[in-house]
Amino acid sequence: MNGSAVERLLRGDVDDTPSIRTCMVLAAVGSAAIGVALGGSSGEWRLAVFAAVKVPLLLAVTTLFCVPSFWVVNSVLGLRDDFAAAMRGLLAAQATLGLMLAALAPMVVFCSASVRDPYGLTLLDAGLFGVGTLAAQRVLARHYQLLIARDARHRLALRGWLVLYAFAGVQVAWVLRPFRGTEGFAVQFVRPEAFEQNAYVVLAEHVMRLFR
Amino acid sequence: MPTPSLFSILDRVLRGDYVRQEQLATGRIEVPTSRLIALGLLLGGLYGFGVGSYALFRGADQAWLQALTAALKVPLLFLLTLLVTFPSLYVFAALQRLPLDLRNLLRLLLVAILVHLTILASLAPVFAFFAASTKSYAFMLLLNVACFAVGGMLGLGVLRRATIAMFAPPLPPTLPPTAPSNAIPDSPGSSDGGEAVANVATTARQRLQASEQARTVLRVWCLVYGIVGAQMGWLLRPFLGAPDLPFTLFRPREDSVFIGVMRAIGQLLGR
Repeated sequence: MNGSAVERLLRGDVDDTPSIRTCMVLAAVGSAAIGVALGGSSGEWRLAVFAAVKVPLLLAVTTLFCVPSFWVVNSVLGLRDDFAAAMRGLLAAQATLGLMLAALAPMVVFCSASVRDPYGLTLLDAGLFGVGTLAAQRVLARHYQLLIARDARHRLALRGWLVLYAFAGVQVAWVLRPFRGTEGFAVQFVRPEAFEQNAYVVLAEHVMRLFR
Repeated sequence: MPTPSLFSILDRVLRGDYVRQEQLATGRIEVPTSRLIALGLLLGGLYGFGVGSYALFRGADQAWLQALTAALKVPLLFLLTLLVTFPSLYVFAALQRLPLDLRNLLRLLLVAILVHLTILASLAPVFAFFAASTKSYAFMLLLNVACFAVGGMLGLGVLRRATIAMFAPPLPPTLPPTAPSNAIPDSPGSSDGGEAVANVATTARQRLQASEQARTVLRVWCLVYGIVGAQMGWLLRPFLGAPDLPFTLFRPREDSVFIGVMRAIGQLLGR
């Protein structure tokens, strides 16, 4: 398939997937774009720069955390021979996620202008990242369709990856916050208590508060 | 080939010439983007002026300025809404393998927006008449919302038709016009014919599935487009210009369009 790397990634078959370097660039640049939109919403340029670094960092660090376990799971399931193809699928999905996040950057700016409530904005941001993940799933499915046809155990490995990626990703995002910045808080790359809290514990506390 | 006039382009847009199956099958919508934008600016300006006429008739503060800014803000509203929603639609459309590339998808959306704007422009005299004969600000606000809603539904209907046309079976039939009798799959000695029929059935099934998925994507997008458009309108207000408030280019950010509309309904009902 001819056309730009973006067109080949989005429309093409597995063989049309752009090179590893191109995928990495797409993922980094795309996620940096939404970072600028998130951080820039505070009107503080340093936060825009920080977030432009932190969103690509979020994707990269989460991936790095999950790859070793993914490799082990693939080896245990007897899928080691397909590991390179599986990683290529995951990288293509990351590039799609980056692209979709860049496409959603204007939506972030729009939400920032429309919604004043910080909790509402956090929910909207989470929703937009969810949309990005949905797009990435589409490309990942194309890659895994071939792998699963070869060996059904790939389905299990993929599910494991998705669960671990989401589980670790939430905590990495929590540690790397703020992405938007909150009024009254100093401009910092990460909060001083970044490594003292757990996203799931905080979430549980919020839920419990609802029932008190 | 000479560039068609604005009026002939608008005529073709309204007749649906650009979203016919034979046009979409080529993957190209043969109309200059700049002309579509020029038409949009003209028609949006016309309706905007119609909306701003309320300020003129009610003697609002700096009424002419209010009418002129409304004429500029209506096209701006559509451009900004497109700017916010188009990039994500493009990514999803490409993932769905819609046969239109970035430029032609943009043209398709501009065609749909133009239908919306033409309906609005055609309602401008009606709106101006109501503006001249109505004192209630809440009524005019709701009338404006209703005009946008009616135009939007018809405009988005164009997208719906285009999606159906994009995934319709190809115009020249893939099957021979008169299928031989031995092409029935389970008849003896017809393995080739049977295979052909099976392939055609599989292709048709895949096409139907792709069409369903693309339509779902488009439905969701239309919903998002509607919400973003409504809220964008709220951010860009005032369009009408309340008679008791001083002229301002933009009002401070507060509430949302949905709360605003509910409040207007409440005022109209005297609550």
